[in-house]
Amino acid sequence: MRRVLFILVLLFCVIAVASHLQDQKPAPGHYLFVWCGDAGRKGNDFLAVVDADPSSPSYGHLLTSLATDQQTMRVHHTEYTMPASGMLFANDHDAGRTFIFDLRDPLHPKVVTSFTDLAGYMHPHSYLRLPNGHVLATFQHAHHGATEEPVGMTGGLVEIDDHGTVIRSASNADPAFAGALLTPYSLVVLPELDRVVSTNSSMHIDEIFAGVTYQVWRLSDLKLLKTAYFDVGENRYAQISPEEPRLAPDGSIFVQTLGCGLERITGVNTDEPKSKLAYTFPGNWCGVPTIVGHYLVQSAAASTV
Amino acid sequence: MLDIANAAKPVEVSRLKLSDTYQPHWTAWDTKTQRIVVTSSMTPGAPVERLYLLKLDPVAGALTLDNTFRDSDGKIGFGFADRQWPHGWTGSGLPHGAVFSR
Repeated sequence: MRRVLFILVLLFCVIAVASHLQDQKPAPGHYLFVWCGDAGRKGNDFLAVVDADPSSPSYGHLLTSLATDQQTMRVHHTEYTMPASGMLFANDHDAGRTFIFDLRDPLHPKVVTSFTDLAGYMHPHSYLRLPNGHVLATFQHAHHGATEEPVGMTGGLVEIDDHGTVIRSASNADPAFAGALLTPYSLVVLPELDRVVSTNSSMHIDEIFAGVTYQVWRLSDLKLLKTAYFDVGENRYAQISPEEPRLAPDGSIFVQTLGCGLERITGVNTDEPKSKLAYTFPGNWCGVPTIVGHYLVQSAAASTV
Repeated sequence: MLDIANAAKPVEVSRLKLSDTYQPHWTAWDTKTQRIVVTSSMTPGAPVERLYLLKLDPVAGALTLDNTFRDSDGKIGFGFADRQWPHGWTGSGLPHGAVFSR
């Protein structure tokens, strides 16, 4: 009897170890996760999973989708790349709500949790990963009373873990820029320099052309070091609404603007960082850029990429 | 697309027009398949646009449409308009952010 029991326990252990090893295998296939709302704004936000494996017979086909309980207001940013943890942040900006999806099993996505206001800040916008795996997010606005500034004119940065828990936060209010629109839009994390660079642009149509500044922070303690205006180019508008900062191969920072300018910030680890309008794309309403090697791909509403 | 090898003086190396009406907005890179995803910003009331994947030729510095990436309707790109979604909803999706798996 003892022998039989021993064999059963041994068998159980072998199966458990095999099962654990199977769980650790990366998911087969390759996928594209698309954060969607209802174009009619009556249904709910959802995540679509599309086959992105060029060798798959169903390349380009819809594989599954997962609904949230958020009625579509303005489905907006996800993270720009898939984090190592497989936990993806995505927001409905006008709802002021962020979802954290567990995408480790791509064909069975799950909502881990969601959050709205955190640490006195609201309307999260963009999410970048820190070396410790946490997210550093821009929040466009501070609650009334959180700062001396008028409501809505300032926001902050919040470090958040994959459970939606606040780790730390900091206001972006700058007394030297009282009255300026300082609503954090997006950011780039520069661990080697112990710096973060964030941009200020509004998501509200009434103030959409009022953002003209960037801010430099110390990453280690989230101390705001500098607020500065972007360079004004020859056409006098290409610096307006700075949105997406990206790290260039030479260590400088490129910032795309809604006015279709490409600003270049240098010296972020000095007391006097500088921006220079490096390029102007045709038209307005330029979107989210991507840097690949020594190329920068810019979407422009003038129908070109 | 700009060549930023000399970051102080970016140079346009190519331009891809998807259609006369398409307004590209979100882009993201996939290191695994060397593709760029593009979604469109939508003007209220305008038809819902498709999502496309682009190939980047690093030698020529050029972007081309991946015409092998086709939805089940056989058309290039992925369509969001008037479809039945696996989670049980029927309607037109409005995309924004898009991210590849690792």
